[in-house]
Amino acid sequence: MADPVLEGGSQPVDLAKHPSGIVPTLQNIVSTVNLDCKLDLKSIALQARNAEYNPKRFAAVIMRIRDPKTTALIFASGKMVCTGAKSEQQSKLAARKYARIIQKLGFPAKFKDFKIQNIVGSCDVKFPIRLEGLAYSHGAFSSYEPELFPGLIYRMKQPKIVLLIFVSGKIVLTGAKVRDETYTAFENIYPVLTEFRKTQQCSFDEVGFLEPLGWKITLMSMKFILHRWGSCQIEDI
Amino acid sequence: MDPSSKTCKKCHQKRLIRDEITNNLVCESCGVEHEFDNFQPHFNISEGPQGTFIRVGSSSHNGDFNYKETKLYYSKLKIQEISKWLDFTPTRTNEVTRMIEEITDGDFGSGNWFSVLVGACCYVIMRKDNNLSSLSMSEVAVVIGCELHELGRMVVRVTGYLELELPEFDIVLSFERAIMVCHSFENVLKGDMVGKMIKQGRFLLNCAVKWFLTTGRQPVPVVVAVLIFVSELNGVEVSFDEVAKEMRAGNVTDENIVKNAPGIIQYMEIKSRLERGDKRKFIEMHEFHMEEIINECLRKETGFDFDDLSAENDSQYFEGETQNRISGNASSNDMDYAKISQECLSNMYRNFLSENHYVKSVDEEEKDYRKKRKKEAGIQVYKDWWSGMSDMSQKLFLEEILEKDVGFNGLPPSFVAGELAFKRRREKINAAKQRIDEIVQPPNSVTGDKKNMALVEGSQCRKQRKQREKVGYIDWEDCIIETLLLYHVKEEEIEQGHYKRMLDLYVFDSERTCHSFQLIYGMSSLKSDFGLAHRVLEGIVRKRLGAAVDQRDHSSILRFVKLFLPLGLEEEGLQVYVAYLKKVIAMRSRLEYEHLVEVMEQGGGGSEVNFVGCLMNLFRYIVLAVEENDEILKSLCGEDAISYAIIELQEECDSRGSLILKKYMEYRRLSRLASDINSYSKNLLSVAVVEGPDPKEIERYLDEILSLTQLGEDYTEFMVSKIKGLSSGPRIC
Repeated sequence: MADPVLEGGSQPVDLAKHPSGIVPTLQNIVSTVNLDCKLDLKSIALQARNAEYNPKRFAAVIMRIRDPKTTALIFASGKMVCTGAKSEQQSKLAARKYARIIQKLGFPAKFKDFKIQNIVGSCDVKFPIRLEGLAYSHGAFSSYEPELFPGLIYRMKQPKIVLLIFVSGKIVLTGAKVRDETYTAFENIYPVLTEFRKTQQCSFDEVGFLEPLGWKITLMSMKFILHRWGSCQIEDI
Repeated sequence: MDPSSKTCKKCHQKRLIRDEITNNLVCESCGVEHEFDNFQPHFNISEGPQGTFIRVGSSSHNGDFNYKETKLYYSKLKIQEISKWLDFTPTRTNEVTRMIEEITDGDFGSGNWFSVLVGACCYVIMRKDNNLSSLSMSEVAVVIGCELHELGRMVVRVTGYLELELPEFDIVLSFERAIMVCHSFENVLKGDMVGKMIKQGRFLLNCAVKWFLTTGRQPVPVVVAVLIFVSELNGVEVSFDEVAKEMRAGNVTDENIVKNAPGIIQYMEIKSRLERGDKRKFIEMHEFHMEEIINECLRKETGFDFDDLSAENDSQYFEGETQNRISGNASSNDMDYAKISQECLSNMYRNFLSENHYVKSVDEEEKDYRKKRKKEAGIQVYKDWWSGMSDMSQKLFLEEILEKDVGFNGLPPSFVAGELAFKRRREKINAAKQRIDEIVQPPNSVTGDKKNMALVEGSQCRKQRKQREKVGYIDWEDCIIETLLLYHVKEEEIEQGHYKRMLDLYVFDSERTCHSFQLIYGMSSLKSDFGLAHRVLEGIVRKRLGAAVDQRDHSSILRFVKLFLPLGLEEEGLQVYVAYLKKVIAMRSRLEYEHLVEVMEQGGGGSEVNFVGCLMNLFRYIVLAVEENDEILKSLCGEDAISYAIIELQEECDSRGSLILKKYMEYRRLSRLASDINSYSKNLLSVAVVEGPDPKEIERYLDEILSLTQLGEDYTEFMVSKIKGLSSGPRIC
């Protein structure tokens, strides 16, 4: 049976837009909106379900909705931050829902200056990356301090995006205001990463047959020693 | 204000004086203390810094230090102190002071943050110099008594502010420093030994860099690991804890190091030193070492124990010891490596021998050498294994390290784990697709056919089903993958494994999903999609109901039968449910019947063999089944359902009832009794006295028969009234 669900699930990547063939997936969208009215946070916290308010800890009501699954910080000034959405539309829809909730609680809330503030994306280039090499040759943009954080922090200037690059080949991109900035940043970094990709030489020469065994033993012993440390567990995301 | 000019508020005399100790205004005549009037503004505020006025004691003639001077004094003291702890030369200390002056605009500072700043500046300077006295960040953090990340943040801010570019952390240098500085090595190390160990350490570290062991990992633990490894190798006894403590490497555990390295390191070294062209020559020269090592590894009963620990030989180590010792906390990766069994090793070696003719060229001399060596025990066996001539024992740049071929290319563990996770998810996706396909197109299409859905008794069948369930066990991940597949999520996306994100994006976002359905597939296909989902759901409900029936879990059966209604499978639901009721009744009445027969066979008295009770129970079960399930039956097919259920159950009643009655007749020997009675009446006039059946017994039997028939009558009457009560009337009568 021709099954559109199971076979037609994947659409080809637009190679003109994504020459690498990899499209970063968006993980989190942060947006802000001005409800343009003063709010009584205590009364909101008392009336609304899914709202928490602890003025000693944080001066905003934290509200959550299920669909789209998001969290909002609502401030007394009427400004609101909406986080956790997985797409721009979701973020806007969620913000509207929050505004509607506030309206229903009796405040004259409007929906002014909605803006996406940050987009976080991630992807996997599927090859290991020599972070030391990358840090060395792109020293001006990157900061790699394995003592502090296992990933390399790459601050791209154009577009202004911060990338976290891990040895496993996983990349996190953050700081974008529009989705295309994330895509451009990834397409910019991808050729750089391929430079520091580890070439996998398979040299099974005359005595090569035994090598994997011998190496595995040494590698194992070293990994084992490392493993005995609790502190060196931070390895990757 | 002069106190004598005021009058006392109580005695109104002008005898107020100022108390020497408290400076309050007190009346000399009556002793009343007056309210505070002694505010003295500080007129010198324009001279000193603004802010709180703090007295710092009076060490000098001229009066108090002001705040700024004191702060500067103490901050410089702090800088001196910290640089002293870090063994800084005066010039370096001055450099730190200059740096801090620049950062703080000459204000310096006090408090905890200031020591962190001093520590950060010291660290930056050490990193810039990058020589043997450079400490690691964790060591500096311990010296100044702050948390590593606190210091790290400060270092980043300092470098950012001063726009400095720090050289990379030099792991080899760190190793060299460690070996020189560590007190554990003070006593044992002699000149050439240090050099050798440093070379070996460099070599291993270079390999570690090449194998990604150091990438994305804290460097100090790696350094300590190599240090321990190398010292074990050279027979230097050091304690894991001590070295780790000295290196401030964090939590440590007891000593347990693998010691199989000499041969391998030698091999590694020779291999990396090897020029391509020389390969043949090299093999002839050195192959025996390789063989030797393997032999040593393979021998079980050997005097080979350069392990100081209990391990008798290395291959055994890999089999048992590792598993025992690491068991608790070893990662699966390690375990995989550790499971190289002896057979595996010997097989590998045999293959190696057969495939590699160079090995056979081992000459007599070497054989003698081996014999000699076998007699020796201990570390001397390998006294000549390390030549230290390899380039890899030198300090190298990354590119140089990467160019070297050490015979093995390791991949970062995180990368390997990622790949494995990908593969696992891929398999799960395929399995999920298969499951969905099976439900959409079952091998024997399940229709409303009663036979298919019938509850097949017999343990064999149940066993098979159980086995099937075991094989097809699905967990939460499978369920999520199935759901995502049904929601048209791309397989590549599922492979990445961000389940939460995908569920939020595609499944729990109702508006978007509907919208995208309409957009992409159009309404017609939307319907077919729902059709598909519907079929899948049908399959699931059927399967679950079957399982529940098997387990006679009444509440789940009710739950799933109710689901048949919204699915539009009312009739099928009815059939299954009635079949279930029939089965339950049959089972119960069979139990009673068997009990009855048992009592009969034991020859129990007439009162114990209660046929009336047995029949009554049968009727009661059926009536109860109809009455209690009235609601659910009606919900399925209205009143038709009731009549259907009554008719179906009646079948069961007939068969079971007739069985009981037959048994009754048999037990009371009613046929013989009847013939006896008949013959007795015929011989009524005969002379001979023949004892006929006991009339009392007959009377008891008649009572029994009467109550049995009465029971049957009552039951029939009830059922008929029940059927008549249905407005639509029965279909079959």
